Amino acid sequence: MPKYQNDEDYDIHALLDVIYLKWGYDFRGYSKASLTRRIFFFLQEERIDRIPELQYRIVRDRALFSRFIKDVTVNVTEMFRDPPFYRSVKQHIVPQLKTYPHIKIWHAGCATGEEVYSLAMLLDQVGLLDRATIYATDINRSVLDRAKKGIYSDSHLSQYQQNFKDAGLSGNLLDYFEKGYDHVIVDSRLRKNIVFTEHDLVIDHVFGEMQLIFCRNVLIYFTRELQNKVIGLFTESLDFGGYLCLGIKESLDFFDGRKMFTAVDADHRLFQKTSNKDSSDKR
Amino acid sequence: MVSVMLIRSENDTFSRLVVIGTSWGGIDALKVLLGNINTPFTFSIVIVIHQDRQNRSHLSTLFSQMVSFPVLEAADKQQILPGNVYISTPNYHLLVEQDGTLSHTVDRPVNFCRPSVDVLFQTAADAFGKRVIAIVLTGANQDGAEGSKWVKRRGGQVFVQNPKEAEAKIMPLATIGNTDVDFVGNLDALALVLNNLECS
Repeated sequence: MPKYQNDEDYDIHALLDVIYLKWGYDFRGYSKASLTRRIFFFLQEERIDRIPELQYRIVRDRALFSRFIKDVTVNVTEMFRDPPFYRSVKQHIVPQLKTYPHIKIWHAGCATGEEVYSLAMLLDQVGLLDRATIYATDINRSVLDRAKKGIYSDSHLSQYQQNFKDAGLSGNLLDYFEKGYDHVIVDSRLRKNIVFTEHDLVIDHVFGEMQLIFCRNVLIYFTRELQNKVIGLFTESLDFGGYLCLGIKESLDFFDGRKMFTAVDADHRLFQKTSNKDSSDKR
Repeated sequence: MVSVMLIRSENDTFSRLVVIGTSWGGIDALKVLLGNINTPFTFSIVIVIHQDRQNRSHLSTLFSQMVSFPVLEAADKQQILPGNVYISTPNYHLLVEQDGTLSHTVDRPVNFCRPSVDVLFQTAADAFGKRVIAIVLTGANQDGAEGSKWVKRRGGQVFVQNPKEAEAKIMPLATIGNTDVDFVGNLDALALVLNNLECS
C-alpha cells in the first residue's frame, strides 16, 4: 500500500531528506499538515513551480535555504501572549524562584523575542531580574538577530499595553521602552541578562541546569514522537524542582517520563519536575 | 432492533470525516444541527468556529450538555475517533493530519481568521480526500469558500446551509458562488443527510 495520500507528499518527503543531508536541519519530525502548507507558500513566494525544482535549487543555493528556514519556521509571537499565563507564573513559580541566589532560565523557540522581554519585565517587577540569566534560543538566526536588537514597530502597542495590564504587571509598558518615530526600543536594562543564541531542539543537546524553561507554541509543530524527544531534552536540562512552561495547546501527554512532572497549573500548562526517576515502564 | 455497542480504540477509524465551518450565528446553528443527529454514528465531526480570542472556549461543555455523544475541545495530536465531535480553540488554527490526528498552529491568520475554516477544510481534504464532507454554516465573512473548492478537487462533498435560513448569509453565499456544491439546505435537512450516511 502506498505510504502517502497524495503525490506531493512524496516530493516533500524527498525534499526534507535532502535538506537534512545537505544542511543538517531536520524537519522530518514536524507535523506534516502545517509544514506542507508553509512549503507551498514558500514556493509561491519564490515563484518556484514544483517541489522537485526547489529540492534541486536548495542543495545548491545557501541563500535560498536561509530564506526557507526563515519562512518555514513559524515566528508569530506577541508581548504577553495569553496574559493570564503570566499571572499564573507570578503566582505559582516566582515564589520558589525567589529562594535561589541565581536563576537560569531557558526560553526555547523565542522567535523575535517579544515573550522573552515580557518575562524579563515580569522578573523586574518581582525583583528577580538582576539574579537571572535568560538563555533565549531559536533555530532561525534571522529572527534571533531581530530579538537581540529589541526594536519593535509601534503598530501593536495598544494591544501590548492591554496585555501588559491583563498580565497583572504594574506601571506602564512604555516605561520599558525608548520611543522612536514609528517604533519602540527595549530598554538596555532588560536586555543585559539575556543571552541570545542559535539552538535547534531537534538536533542540538542539553542546555545546562535550568530552574525554568519556557517553550510555548513550539511543540505543536512536532509529531508525538518528536515531542517526546524534545520534552526529554527539557527534562534533562531542568534542575530538580525546576519548572517547564508550555503553550495552551501543549501537554506532556506524549512524553514517556510524564510522571516525573507535577502540574502546578494544568490550565496554563505549568509543570514542575518533582522526580529525577523516570518511573514509566519502558519497553 | 440490534443493540450496538461502541468499542473505541486508537485503531478505530471514522467512516467519513465531516468538517464544519461557521462564524456569526454559529453557536445557535450548531445547537440545531448537532441536536438533530442520531446516535450512534460512525463518522467524526471537526468544527472550526470563529470566536473572540480572549474567550477560552467553553463550547464543548455547552454542547456536551445538549447531546449524548462526546463533544470535545480539540487536543493537539489527538486521534480523531468515530462518533466524536471536536471543536477548535480560539487563536489556534486546527488542522487534520494524514494519520487521522488533529494538530494546531499559530501561523498567521487566514482571511483575518484564526482558526480558519479554509485551513481545516484544506488539510482535511489533503489527508482524507473523498471521505471528507465539508459543511459551511452561517457566517459573516468568506472563510471556507477556498477550502470548499479544495475539498471538491480532492473528491469530497460540500454541503451548505440555506443562505435564507442562515443568520449571516455571506459565508454560505461565498461558498456557493465559489464552488460546485453538492447540497444546499436548512439545518434539519443537513442533519437528515448526515443521518442517512449511516444507512448508505
